[in-house]
Amino acid sequence: MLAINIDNVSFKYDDEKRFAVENVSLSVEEGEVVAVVGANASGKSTLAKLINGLIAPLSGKVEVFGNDTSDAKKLFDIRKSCGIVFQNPDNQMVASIVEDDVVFGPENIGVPREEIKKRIDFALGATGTEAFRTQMASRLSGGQKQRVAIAGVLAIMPRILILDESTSMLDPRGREEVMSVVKALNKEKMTVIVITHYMDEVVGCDKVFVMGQGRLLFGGTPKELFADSALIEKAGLELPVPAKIAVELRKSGVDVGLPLTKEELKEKLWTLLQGN
Amino acid sequence: MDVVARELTYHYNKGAKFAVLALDDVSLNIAEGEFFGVIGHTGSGKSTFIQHLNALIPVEKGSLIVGSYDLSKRDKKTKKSLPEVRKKVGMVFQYPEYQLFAETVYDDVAFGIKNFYKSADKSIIDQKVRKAIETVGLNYDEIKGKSPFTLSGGQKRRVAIAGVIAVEPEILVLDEPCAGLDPQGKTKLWKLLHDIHKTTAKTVIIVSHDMNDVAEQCSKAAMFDNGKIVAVGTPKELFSNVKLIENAGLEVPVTCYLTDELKELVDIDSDFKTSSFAKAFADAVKNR
Repeated sequence: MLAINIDNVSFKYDDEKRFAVENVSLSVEEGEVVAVVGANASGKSTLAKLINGLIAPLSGKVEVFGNDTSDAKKLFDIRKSCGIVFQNPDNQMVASIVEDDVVFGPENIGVPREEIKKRIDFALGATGTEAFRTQMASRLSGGQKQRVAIAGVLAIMPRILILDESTSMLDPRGREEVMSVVKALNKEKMTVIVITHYMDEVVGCDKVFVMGQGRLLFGGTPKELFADSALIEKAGLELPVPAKIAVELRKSGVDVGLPLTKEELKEKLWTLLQGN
Repeated sequence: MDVVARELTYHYNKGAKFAVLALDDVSLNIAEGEFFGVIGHTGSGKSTFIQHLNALIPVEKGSLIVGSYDLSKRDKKTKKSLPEVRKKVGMVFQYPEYQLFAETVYDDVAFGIKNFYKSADKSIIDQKVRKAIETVGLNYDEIKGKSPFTLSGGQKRRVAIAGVIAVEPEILVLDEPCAGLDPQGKTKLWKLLHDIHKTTAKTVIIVSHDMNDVAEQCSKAAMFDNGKIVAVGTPKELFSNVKLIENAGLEVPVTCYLTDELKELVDIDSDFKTSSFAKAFADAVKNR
């Protein structure tokens, strides 16, 4: 089933001359983990806002599980099915105690009390934040806070989770914490869209879309993307570190292809050394 | 200007119930001319340490000498010299673009200069602002009249850095300068920081989470864990001890991971920069 279908969509902010998103078409299957990459101001975040109906397209059509975001009657359902976690966890906490923060969403959409209890347990469990349940959110680390922010979105039970540069303020350990939550949620069939500048976060995704100046420059697998060096250059991206090392190795006369993870590169080098 | 810290200790909320030991007996030398990395996981004491360098945080215990200034002293003379210290040690915080405030890029960049050179006349200020804006790779005439808030993320960050280097500090300290930038913006900013290191600031001190960047960019680094310094050295020295890095809650650079994983088969001797690792590996294969 199609989770998201974007059909020839354009959007422009009131005070801007340039289109933020122009003639973009793409689709995401339910249960996929999809990365969206591109330079700053390439239209990635606008795309996220279009998907959960925070903004409506000027032309074209955005459908979330078959519901058109331009249909005001469908908006409530769309936003319930599609949660966004933003960059700065401090900007999306509404309560001082972790538990109260997670309750906020389901309370707002009128979930019955008994059900709310279950949802909080689920959300805190899925993000590994039970231990902070009654703690002050302000006393948590960045990675912990961001996991609580994800818990707050999960409590709404969305079918699609959008992470809009949600790991950019975290250290590598915090990033790992968040990405492992993403993987666990995806196992439960959740559709996840990861908007990111970190190429190592792209590697594990099923699909990747590249935006550039409001247009869709590429849609395909991470492997296809990183093999296209001209596109990488044009879109202002870079190779993941293991692939950068492989490129340097090739310059020194050692050809190991283009492994995207450090484990893959290690295996290649290991095999090469043993056959030597 | 050298930085010499001896047994520096600092508590947040000292004396209160929730007192936190942020720096624990930290001794460190940062010689003039280094491109120095300060590394450690979140909450390890990095930011507390760098905020000591221009006396934003007063010395609680121990001593700290920056150039000819003894920041551990509390006498009148030292207090009077603090503006000078802050002029010579420029500080760029995390996400510095959030601190832009003026109506035009010009006013924002000129703010520091006007504060530090109270008697400077307009032509000198103009000159300094132009130089700083051009140093960070922006077009002065094009951008000086624009509102900083209309710029892109990468441009805003450059303007914020321009405001600090306009004062021409000898030591430039930056907390996570590349956070949140896109890959190309990041590459350009590293280049800019090396340019500044060659031309304006003699010493550059960088707080970073990304060990791959530290291996690639820094001449030396100090690793913080739990308020203590657990290692100081060149990237080659630091990253040779994988256990140490992992125990400090950090990720090792990929080159360092590979060197360690393959050590039973081959001895790869490099400084962990991508290019030198590749060369060392190729050489090692040839010589087997």
